[in-house]
Amino acid sequence: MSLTGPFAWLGWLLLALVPPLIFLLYFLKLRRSKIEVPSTFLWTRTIEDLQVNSLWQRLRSSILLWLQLLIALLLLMTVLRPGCDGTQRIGGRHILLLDTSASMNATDLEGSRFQEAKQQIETFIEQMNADDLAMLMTANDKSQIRQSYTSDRALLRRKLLEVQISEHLTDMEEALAAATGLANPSQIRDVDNVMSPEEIALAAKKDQATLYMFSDGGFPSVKDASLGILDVRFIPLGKTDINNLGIISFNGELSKVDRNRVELFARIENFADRPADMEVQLYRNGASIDAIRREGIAAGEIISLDFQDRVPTVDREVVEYQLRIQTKDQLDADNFAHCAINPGRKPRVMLITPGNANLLAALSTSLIGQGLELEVQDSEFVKSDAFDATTKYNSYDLIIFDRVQPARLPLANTIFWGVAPSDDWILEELEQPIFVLYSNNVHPMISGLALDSLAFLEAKRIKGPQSSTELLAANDGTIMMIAPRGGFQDLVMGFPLIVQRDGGTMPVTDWPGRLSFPIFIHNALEFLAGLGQKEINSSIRPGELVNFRLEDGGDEVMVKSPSGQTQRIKRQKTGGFVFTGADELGIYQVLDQTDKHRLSFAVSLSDRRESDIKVKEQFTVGYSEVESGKSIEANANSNLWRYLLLTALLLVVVEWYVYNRRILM
Amino acid sequence: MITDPPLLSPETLGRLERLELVTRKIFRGRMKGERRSRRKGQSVEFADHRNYVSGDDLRFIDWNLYARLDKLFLRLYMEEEDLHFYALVDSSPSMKFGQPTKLRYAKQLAAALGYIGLCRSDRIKVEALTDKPSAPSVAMRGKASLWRLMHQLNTMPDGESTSLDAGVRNFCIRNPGKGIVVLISDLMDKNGYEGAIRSLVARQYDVYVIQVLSDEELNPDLVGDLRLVDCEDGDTADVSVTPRLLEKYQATLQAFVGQVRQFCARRGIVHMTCATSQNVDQLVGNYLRSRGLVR
Repeated sequence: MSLTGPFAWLGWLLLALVPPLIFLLYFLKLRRSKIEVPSTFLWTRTIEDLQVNSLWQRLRSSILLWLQLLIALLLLMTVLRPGCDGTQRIGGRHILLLDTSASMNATDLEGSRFQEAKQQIETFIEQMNADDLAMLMTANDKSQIRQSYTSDRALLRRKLLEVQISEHLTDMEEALAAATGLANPSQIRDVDNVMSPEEIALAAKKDQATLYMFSDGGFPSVKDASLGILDVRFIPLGKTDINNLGIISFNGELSKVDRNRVELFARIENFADRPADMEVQLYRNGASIDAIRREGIAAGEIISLDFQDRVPTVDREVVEYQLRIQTKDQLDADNFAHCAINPGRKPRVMLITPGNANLLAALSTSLIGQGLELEVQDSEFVKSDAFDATTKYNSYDLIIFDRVQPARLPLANTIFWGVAPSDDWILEELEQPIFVLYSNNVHPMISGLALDSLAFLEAKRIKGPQSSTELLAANDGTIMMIAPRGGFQDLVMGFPLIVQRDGGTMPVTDWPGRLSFPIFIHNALEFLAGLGQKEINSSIRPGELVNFRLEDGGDEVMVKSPSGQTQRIKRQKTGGFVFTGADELGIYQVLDQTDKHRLSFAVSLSDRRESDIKVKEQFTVGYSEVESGKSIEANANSNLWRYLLLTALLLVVVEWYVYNRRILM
Repeated sequence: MITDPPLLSPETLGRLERLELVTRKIFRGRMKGERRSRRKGQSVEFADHRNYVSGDDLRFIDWNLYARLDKLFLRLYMEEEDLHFYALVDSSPSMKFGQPTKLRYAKQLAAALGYIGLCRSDRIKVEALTDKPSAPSVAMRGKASLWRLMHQLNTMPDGESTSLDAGVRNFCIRNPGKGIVVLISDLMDKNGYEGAIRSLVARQYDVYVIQVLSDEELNPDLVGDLRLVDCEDGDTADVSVTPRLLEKYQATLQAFVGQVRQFCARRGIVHMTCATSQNVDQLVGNYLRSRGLVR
């Protein structure tokens, strides 16, 4: 049992004076109303024996005084905050983790869940003891320490006030890892062997902290974390009976058949436990173009919607779409989603070859050929100034070297057939027979391809630099390997497709005649040149990094956020751009140095987990389950004073009853 | 200006005319009246014969008897004299409580009894208790004195703080005659009522004590924690009114009334209690009749 409180000795002294003061006031109080009577003769006789009383007689009959004294005593005890947290008083360490993800915007609680959480944290800070230390952390998909351990309550309150809600998703793994690292006790070493086991335990306990998670539980279970001795108290915020319709995906792309038609797809889910009606509206560049109304969407049902929009200028201008659920519900962030269709771009590919009909044929198929700009150069090209330019500027997406080795590697992804790209690579002749033993089926370039029956007349064993990935291995070594180089990748084949022999060409492998060959070329172009890919990922989540390429437009572009704020970003060494400030939901516009609108990208919540705002009562961390604490217990000390306060309140009621009974009966 | 209604209504007066005051003792009156006296005198009612002694009035010699017995006898007749009736009204401040006030009620009672006496040619005196030496008040006789009686009652000083004992003694000194004394008071005197009653008994009055109590004394309507202030001496009593206290008060009141009654009964005094809420007309017509003060 320990007694703590927020007062110095003077405060305690004043508190101790309260009961005697009540006692005195009880006798000094002038609350008897005077009434004139014909004679006090009979009254005096009536109360004669009571008047003999004096002090103790009066006290005996004065239930009100005793009740008041008892109430005062209980209130005093409440101020002392009695608890049972050990035999020795130690300062508590608390980590306050506030979820600032999008789902905390839900309005099922008064104000919002976020407001409620802030309110509860403020109450917690208010109830902290003088020697308690607390740390304030926020977490969405990133965690941030807003205030490190401090006992300054005003500072904590100020920092709490500064915390704003975000539109980000939730990932508690980082936050829990940080909290665990911060909370677990430092190693207690008793080098000189002078500490008793109790002292060591006490020292360890001093560092022990409690993590209070103020969240709605809308995050995936944290698998790769261990809480150690961190005591986690989960304070769930929200209700299970909710009302929310959310857009869980919204995408658009140009029709394969008609390049002037945009096809849009959306999926909307009813997260409530009861049927709901829905009205959605589709906007193109801010103007409404379509609307759909559905009634009685069952609980948990997912509605798929598709729209088709014909836009003649789609290949020249950026088209922005917004889908909005007009029906009001408890979470607004998932009631709208955006999507941007940017003018198409073809990847630039250069083939440097002394002549290779098979490769040219594979690069000229209708599926591949239409989607890229192909430039073919002979083997002498590598010695030209034009090639030197490629080593300085990133103007090609992919350069294929067919049996040609350049002096310097270009600033582009590369494929080398039968030669090593640089001295980092070693190619050694393999002995016959050569047959495929292993193909890396998880790599997107060769996954699903039947390469095990390929025949080779000759091939070279490849030894690549560190961090190379083996793609295809023959009986005596790797014959296809890929390795990163700066921001680029080099794919090296240990075999050419053909060789010049005796004045003519001779095939080295039967691969070009197989179905897998054009598919491999297509895959390689997709993977290394970005064939068929957009400049920009269409579905970007709030807080994600946005990578995009822009052929020209200078070394600096401006990104304009939905709220109108602009940010200048510089071109990366790899030639692309990286934007890190996608925190708002909506359409971001990329403007070049001439203020020309080049492309747009959309940031939408579109996340089932965030939209499912039903509060979770528990979650898993590693192998341990964390259940809700239902309410905040400021610390173990707060357990008893609540009951004392409640008892005092009951006594006030009893006193009131007794007083009224005396008066009215 | 709002004036109090007359103490007795004409209807009440009409009813009172049919009543007469009764005394359990035969007193000697002062003047000729309508009551039989101890003394023999002149009336139409024969009382006795006695031997003639020289000097007797020859007109009263029974000549018929002289003719028969040859002796002189004198015829004696019953004498009729008036009755002395005193109404002593306690006008202390404590009598000013109640609705109507106890004092008004006492005056009404005194007026009613006095009027009965006036109708029967009794000598009526109405006095307020006072310890100040003053001339005895004027005695009234005959119905014609009704206005004087009323005037005297209406002008009676009220709120005079006099102890019961001192007031009664003062009365006894100033009024040496015999007769009926009706003491109308609440008897709530901290010095006791016993001395006063003893003084009256010692003068051989036919004493009636009418104890007037107001409703607020009989059933006090008090709640809460109170400081009761005595209107006469300013004495205070702090009470917290509880059902238990009220019960105890009732018991004390009953004990007090019982004590007075017992005290009076031992001395041949009729004691009556009445509440101010009781109708005076009814009280005189029924209650006092049953207790033998009027008939």
